[in-house]
Amino acid sequence: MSFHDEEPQTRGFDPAIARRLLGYLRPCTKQLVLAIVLVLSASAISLVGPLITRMAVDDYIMVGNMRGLDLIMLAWLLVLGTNWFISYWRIYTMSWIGQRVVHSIRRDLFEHLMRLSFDYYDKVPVGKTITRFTSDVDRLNELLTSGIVNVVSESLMLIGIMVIMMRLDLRLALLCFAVLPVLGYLVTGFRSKITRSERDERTKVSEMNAYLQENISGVRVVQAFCREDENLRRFDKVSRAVYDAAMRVIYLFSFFWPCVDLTSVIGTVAVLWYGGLQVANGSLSFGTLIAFIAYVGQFFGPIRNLSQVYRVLQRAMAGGERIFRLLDTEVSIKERPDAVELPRIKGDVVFDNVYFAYEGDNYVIRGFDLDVKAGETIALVGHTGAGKTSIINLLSRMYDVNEGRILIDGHDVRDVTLSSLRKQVAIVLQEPFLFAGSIKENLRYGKPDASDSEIESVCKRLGIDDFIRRFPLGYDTEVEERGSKLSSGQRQLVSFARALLADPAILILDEATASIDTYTERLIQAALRELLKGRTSFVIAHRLSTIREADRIVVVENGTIVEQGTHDQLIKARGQYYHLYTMQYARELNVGAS
Amino acid sequence: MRVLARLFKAYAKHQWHLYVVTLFLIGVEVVLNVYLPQLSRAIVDTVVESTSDLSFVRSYLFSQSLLYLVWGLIRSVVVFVEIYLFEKTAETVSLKIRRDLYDHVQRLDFSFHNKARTGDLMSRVTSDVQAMRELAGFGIVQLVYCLLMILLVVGWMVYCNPSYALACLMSMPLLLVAAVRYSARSGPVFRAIQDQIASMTAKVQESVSGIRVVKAFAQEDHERAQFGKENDGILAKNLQAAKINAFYHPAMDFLASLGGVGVIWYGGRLYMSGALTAGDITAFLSYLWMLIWPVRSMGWVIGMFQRGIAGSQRVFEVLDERRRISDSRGSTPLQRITGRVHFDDVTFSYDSGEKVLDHFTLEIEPGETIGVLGMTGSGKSTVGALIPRFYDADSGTILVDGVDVRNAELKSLRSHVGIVPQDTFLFSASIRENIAYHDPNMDLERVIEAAKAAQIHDFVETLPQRYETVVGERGIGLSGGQRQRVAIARAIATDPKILILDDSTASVDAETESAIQESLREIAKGRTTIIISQKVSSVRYADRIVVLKDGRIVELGTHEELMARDGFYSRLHAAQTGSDLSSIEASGEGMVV
Ligand SMILES: Nc1ncnc2c1ncn2[C@@H]1O[C@H](COP(=O)(O)OP(=O)(O)OP(=O)(O)O)[C@@H](O)[C@H]1O
Ligand SMILES: Nc1ncnc2c1ncn2[C@@H]1O[C@H](COP(=O)(O)OP(=O)(O)OP(=O)(O)O)[C@@H](O)[C@H]1O
Ligand SMILES: [Mg+2]
Ligand SMILES: [Mg+2]
Repeated sequence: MSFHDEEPQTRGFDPAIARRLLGYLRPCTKQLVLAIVLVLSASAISLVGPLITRMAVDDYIMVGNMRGLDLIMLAWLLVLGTNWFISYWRIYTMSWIGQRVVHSIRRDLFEHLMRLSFDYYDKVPVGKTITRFTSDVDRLNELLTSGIVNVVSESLMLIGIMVIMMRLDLRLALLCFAVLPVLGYLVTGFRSKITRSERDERTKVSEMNAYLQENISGVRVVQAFCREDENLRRFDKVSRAVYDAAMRVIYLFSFFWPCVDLTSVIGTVAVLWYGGLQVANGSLSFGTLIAFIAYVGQFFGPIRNLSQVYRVLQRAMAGGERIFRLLDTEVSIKERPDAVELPRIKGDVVFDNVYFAYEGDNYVIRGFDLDVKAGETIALVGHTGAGKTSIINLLSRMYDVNEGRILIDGHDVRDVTLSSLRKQVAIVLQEPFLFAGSIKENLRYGKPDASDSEIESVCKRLGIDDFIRRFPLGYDTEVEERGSKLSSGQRQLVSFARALLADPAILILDEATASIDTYTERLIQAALRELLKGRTSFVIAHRLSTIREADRIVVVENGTIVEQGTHDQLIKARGQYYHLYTMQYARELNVGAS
Repeated sequence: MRVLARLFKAYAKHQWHLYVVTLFLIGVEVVLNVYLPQLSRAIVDTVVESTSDLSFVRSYLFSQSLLYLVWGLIRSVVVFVEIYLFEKTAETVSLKIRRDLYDHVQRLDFSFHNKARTGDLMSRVTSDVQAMRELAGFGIVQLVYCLLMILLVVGWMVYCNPSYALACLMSMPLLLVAAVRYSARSGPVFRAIQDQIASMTAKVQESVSGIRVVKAFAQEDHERAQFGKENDGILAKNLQAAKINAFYHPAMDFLASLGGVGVIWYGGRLYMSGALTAGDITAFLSYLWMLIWPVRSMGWVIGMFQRGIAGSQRVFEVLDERRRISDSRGSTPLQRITGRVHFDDVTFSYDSGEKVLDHFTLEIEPGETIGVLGMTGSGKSTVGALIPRFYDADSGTILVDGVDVRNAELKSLRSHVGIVPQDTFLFSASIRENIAYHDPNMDLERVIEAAKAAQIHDFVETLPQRYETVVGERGIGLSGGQRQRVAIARAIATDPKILILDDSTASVDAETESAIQESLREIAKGRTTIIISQKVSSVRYADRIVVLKDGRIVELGTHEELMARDGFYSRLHAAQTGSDLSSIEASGEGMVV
């Protein structure tokens, strides 16, 4: 058994991730174009500011034109107002794009989660799955909200400035661009390191979340066994690992950033020095140098911003990689393309030489053969770990058989759509799981349109209406996470009623009454006899009194059937069942022998 | 504000030296930045003024360029140390908060956890702490940088020409108003976003945890719809925040730019009337440009603060949750106990108010085995939960060895009690770690011994990695009965004086159960054992059997005594065995004992 999902291999920048991210942007193309236009016009306007001041000073103030000054100042106010307006839409559009994309990624993630089969859930801790929805998605959001638009607009700016610089003076321009290879070298040199540590940080965060989620869910056991101190120590360790990983990233970036800065200073100094010499030589006009210096400043601005975005990009890559890995996790239980709707089930079930292993060739079901007639009640008994739960998991196709097949009314379960199959097969799980919400909502889970009176009548027939009504809020009582407000037996009763309400054609009861007292159990059985008339049902129980009246009792041992027949037949046969049966009752029958 | 003060007092105070150094470095950076124009101006001026002496120009240019380079180098080093330090401070702060939060959550009592949602708690430890981290690091640094820059420049302007400066800075109060309004409006929205993220996390957490039910009922669409609602909520709230940001950020920008307009407009008029020189105007203008960036990022910094405050509120909410069950001042450690348990007129109700135990009185002798039977919901598990003090009684007392559990040191009390909870919860760890949960350093022999007693040893031996086999979350990979037996082994391995088995063989087959009971009888020697069950067979050999009904004892006695009475017990016994007798006899076979 292995229950830990492997962390991804270290790879460099992955264009595939970038491409997929861009795919998410496609539906927002219009907004994206709008955003870029807005960003560009905002930058254009920011260039107008200096222009206006120069004009105001040179053309009006210096010549003493007061009216002209008033006019141009009003014009400036107008420009500023426009800028406000444009900025409003720029910020809003950019957030809109980011939020939309993140929204669709979350939706896709959840969609995919709902499709994934149990082999995924068996392996990946809940906390890790949750991390994909929260901090990994946040990392993408950062990139989308500002990153992408900035990359485009800053790159355009950069190109524009480069062109202007080259036209002003080619030599100076080339001198200035000489720092670009250095920057490129810096970026590539840092890239693999940064990628690795970003990814490492994501992994550590995800591990910490897995730890948190598990130990918060199991907090009752933690306290019962006084493990708080030890667990705090362990949490310190995983939390510290996050800290260390984050610090490595921080170290790299706090180094990277000043390096970029320094490079830009070197570029500027080179221009100043060489340009200054040229001016002194007389081979360069003073005005050009001044203009050039101004542009050098503008040249490094976008470069600096781009290197900021670079960080955001790296983080997003690390997050995106994990998100897409989840999205790419293969769904092992898939509907065939030509899957048909399973018509209303009559209830004939055939297990035909079924073999099944959770992993590798570690078979837990071996050559299971069973032919069930519609309307029959089949009891599965056997030692713990014999494979009872596994066999019924196969019936509703929670896992696929390795060999053999399972037929319902002659349809192979793999040939029909999953929802048409599962909607007709209701399982009461060995461990009842209730959702946070009211009792009523939980009861309605399998049949969302059940009316209140329908719910109540089922509960009355099962004899559980009483206990529900004893709560001050009755059916509207909140049961909290996993139903923690109910006793275990009550939880089982609710999940029992939930299954019956779904009006299944086949009912599977996996230890459904293990925590329920015998009186209530008897009531339920009586109700079941009526409710299940004509329906096929499978009952798994260790309390043999529960299953005595089954039409057929099937004894499972190591994944195969060793015996079957009615209670009386099996008792007569004196086999495994007889052995179990006498074992359970020997002591009670022997009253006073202790 | 109070939240902020608390954040800094609790988490940043120990870091004060780091903060001081960082803030000092910011000051240096600001000065360096303000100095930059001087540098390039000097170079430009030399070039312009002394074109005659080429060699002088050359050497001067060289030295000035060198100076510029040194300036750049110094600034890079300063920035490097600054970034590193403030990020380190922020990480340290978040490390501390995470620790405190986790520790507090794991020690909060059952009543809290019954209501809390795991996903919500997780989102507090992760995304809210993240928001606090941003505030404590980048937020503070940026705030200080901006304020310093603004103060310095404004101060300088006022110093140069007070009346002119004041005229230019007239929009500043408006800016302040905008900033205040922005924080007031964005605060609640950021809080709502954090709440919504938590709610989404809780939904994912629940759908994933309950995936077996979701699939069994083919309710993926239902879950999708619910998740969709949460997801839409996040989108809507974020867009709401985007609107606020989109309005206020450029608004502050606009107000700051008004200063520039003032400089030119008012300055221009003054110049025309001869009260100002052109140099004054240009100088003022360049100063105003210096203000643009700090003012622009103010909006951003305010947003960061508001998010941080929202996160802090949510974190402090949990930290302020009082532990209702904790050691009182005079609590005594329970050293060695005999295992006498006395429920003295105990009345108890969960928060919903209905009495679950009603004047419950029971005295359990040291070493006694007590069976507890009763209908579903009659309060059996509650009895078990009161002994290790998972809850406190409303009235009456529970005494262990004559000590009121409320006066006993919690840890010592609980380490004397071994409990097999009704809901089996295993951790995703090896089987050995699960059994040795109480004491990670437990030697393997003791683990095996406990496993043998719980009848799980033989199974574990069949696994390829035996005791080192790792099980999944909640024990996935084991069958129901296997899980339950690991839980029994875990309780036995603590070697408790008081052992509580809550319906712990419900998922175990008859043969294994009887083997477990066999070994339990051995283990129960010298321990007080409470067996809660639905099966007569499980409590059959208890010294005394208690029958609970609606939180009251309705029958109490040995098996024989209760059998002699025509009560719940004897009827239950009949129901679980009575008719079976006939069928076995009908099969022509005598009883096998
Ligand atoms: N998800 C899983 N991955 C790997 N192995 C598993 C998984 N679930 C169960 N097993 C193994 O398969 C075997 C059969 O388990 P199953 O749950 O079918 O038993 P069961 O008959 O229902 O037992 P019980 O009566 O205890 O519930 C067990 O040995 C168990 O360890
Ligand atoms: N956390 C809780 N909050 C509120 N009410 C609760 C809580 N836990 C249990 N109850 C209520 O208290 C009563 C007794 O619960 P308890 O778990 O002690 O029953 P029980 O006898 O163990 O039942 P079962 O046989 O089903 O395990 C029930 O009516 C239940 O609904
Ligand atoms: Mg099972
Ligand atoms: Mg209980």
